[in-house]
Amino acid sequence: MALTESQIQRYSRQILLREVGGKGQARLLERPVRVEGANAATDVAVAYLAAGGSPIDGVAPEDGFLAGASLDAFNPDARSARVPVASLAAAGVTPTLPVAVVVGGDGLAWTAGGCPDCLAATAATLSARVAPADAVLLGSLAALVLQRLALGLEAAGPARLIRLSGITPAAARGLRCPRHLEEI
Amino acid sequence: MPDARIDITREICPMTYVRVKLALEALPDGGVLEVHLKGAEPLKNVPRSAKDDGHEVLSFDASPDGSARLVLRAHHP
Repeated sequence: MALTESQIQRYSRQILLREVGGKGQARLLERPVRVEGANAATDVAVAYLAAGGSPIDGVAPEDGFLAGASLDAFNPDARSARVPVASLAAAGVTPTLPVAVVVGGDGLAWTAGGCPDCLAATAATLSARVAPADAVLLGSLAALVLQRLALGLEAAGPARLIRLSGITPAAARGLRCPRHLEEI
Repeated sequence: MPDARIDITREICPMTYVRVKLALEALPDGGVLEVHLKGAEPLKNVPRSAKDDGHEVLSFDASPDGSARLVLRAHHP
């Protein structure tokens, strides 16, 4: 799928990233994310994902700066007729797709196509309520994980968990925090 | 003989290297791209960005009028 001129302009800064490029940007545009359930963090994640070119399958957020806005007006690429390939789910909601990120109040759980029972068990340890102060951190991290999954940067495997207490800028950058990253 | 040529003399940073990056991606591994560029920032940034992305500078010829001809070989991992 070739990028249009307006897409090259819109995503220019993202295309410049080594992990992305034109090919990565095309991949993001082709891999819709289905939003299942909602909390303050998923609202933030939807905004970042839509801005980055991931089509969103689901309703526009009710909260946050996209509240009341149409995704089409925000980014025409955020709407897609394609079948979604990844789920963004709020804690307490079981994702329906094998590639998924579940966002709770104290962290996020995710899997790149691993066992769904494993993800469900991992995600069950997350608290349901997201404090507004944590929504931006959790939401932006969830969006980053989903983009990395869409770009094929994460190996398939068992569900992984990131706890809020362990999120440092270094951990957010590399999704690696030896002291706090818990894996099942 | 390059496989492709692009003219980025009318582009503004960072679109200068974005165009080069996309053109290099479109080439097969080892393909040669000739770039016409102009301006202090692009002359400094484009060759360096290309090298940072793993591509090879085959030649770089600057002219007195501030423009330059840069020849790159694409390397895809």
